[in-house]
Amino acid sequence: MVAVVQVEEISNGTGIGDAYFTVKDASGSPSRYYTADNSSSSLTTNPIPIPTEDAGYSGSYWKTHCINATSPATEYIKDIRWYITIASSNVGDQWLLGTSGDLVIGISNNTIAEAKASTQGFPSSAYEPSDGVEGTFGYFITDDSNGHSYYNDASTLSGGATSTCDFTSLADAYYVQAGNLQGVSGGRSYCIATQVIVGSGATQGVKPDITATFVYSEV
Amino acid sequence: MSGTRPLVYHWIAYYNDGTKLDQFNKDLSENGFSKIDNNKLNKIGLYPFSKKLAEGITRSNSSTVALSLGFLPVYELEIKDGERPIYYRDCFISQEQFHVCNSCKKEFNYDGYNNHIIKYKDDQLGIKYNEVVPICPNCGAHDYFTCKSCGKEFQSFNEALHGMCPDCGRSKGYLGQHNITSKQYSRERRWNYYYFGKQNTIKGTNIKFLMKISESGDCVVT
Repeated sequence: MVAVVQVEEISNGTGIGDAYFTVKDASGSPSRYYTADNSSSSLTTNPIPIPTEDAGYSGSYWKTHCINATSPATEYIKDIRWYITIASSNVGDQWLLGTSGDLVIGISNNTIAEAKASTQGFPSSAYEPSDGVEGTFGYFITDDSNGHSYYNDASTLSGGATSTCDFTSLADAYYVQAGNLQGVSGGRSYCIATQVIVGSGATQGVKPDITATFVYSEV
Repeated sequence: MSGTRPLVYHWIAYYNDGTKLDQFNKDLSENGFSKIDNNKLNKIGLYPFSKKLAEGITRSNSSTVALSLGFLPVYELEIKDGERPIYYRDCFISQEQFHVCNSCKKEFNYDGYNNHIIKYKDDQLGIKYNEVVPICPNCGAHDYFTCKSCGKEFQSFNEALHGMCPDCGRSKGYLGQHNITSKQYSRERRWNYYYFGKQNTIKGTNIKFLMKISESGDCVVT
């Protein structure tokens, strides 16, 4: 039978055990980035402040997304990928995010080529809630002390974060999870962590949505 | 059913002894693709659903939904000794934004970037401005403002100094907004590609022939 699959945003909690799961479904419920751990689609509170020229750049709280097969496929779901669709060369230009502004994603390898060829996401069991100073800034994914432990320890994982503009089509997609989805009865895929970076000179306001797409192979 | 995309094709495997294995049995149960016996396979095909089969599958208690699209082409492959069939679907789920133009009633995508710039000049300051707004690509319409007193039209709130009609002044030159294209909607979109082909290992090298077939039946050989 055809798998029943939904896109989920994971937020809050101290780990996967007490986190919230918000389904991003056909009713239209896009994810919005804040300086708070909030999965709401439409709030205008806790925006990302535009830093002064001397202050460099600041980040939103990071967001965690995955797909969840609530009913399994006939044989398998595998090779989960993710990409964005944008009109400009990067999200920073499209959203006028200022100097060094961008939408970034955590990667487990050093090169973009590797990020398109092998697993870059992390198991949902390794979910970590985002944190920062609410209303002011979120910790960077790669922050040595407060970042996402899957991506902030170069000594063990060679991980980091890179621009999502490196992943803008199926052929250039980010490899969330190579191989089969965990569990014969379906379940959650590996997750991605994304974050908005705002630099000095950014233009304020609610930005138009960009399209993000999950892809998986099913038999 | 929410969370799935309807199937428009099903496969049938034909064996050299005259028998066949259909993806869906007569009782509407489903066979996995790995159940095909490659040792006696001599042809495999992708076929659109008949109306009866599609309705039966959709009414059954599984999560599978099937559509009968009679215009779809059939794809068949002859399988020779040593060749193995390939079949899988790439399933896409995206969240996308769109706008509906209240002037021409057509929907369009707004990326906040190309082809969505209005230009105007502040006559008092002599400064030219570019502003990014949702502009309908079909008819060119976008939100505009008019003075509630004299009716003068402005392309943008900022085109009028301090958001007030310069002819009527601050006491009565308030602007009213005409919402033509600014309201945005979001939706989920799902679509599938069917990958169908065969492969053979010759002198240690895997040779693959693969077709990428859209839900409307268009095919690209990869």
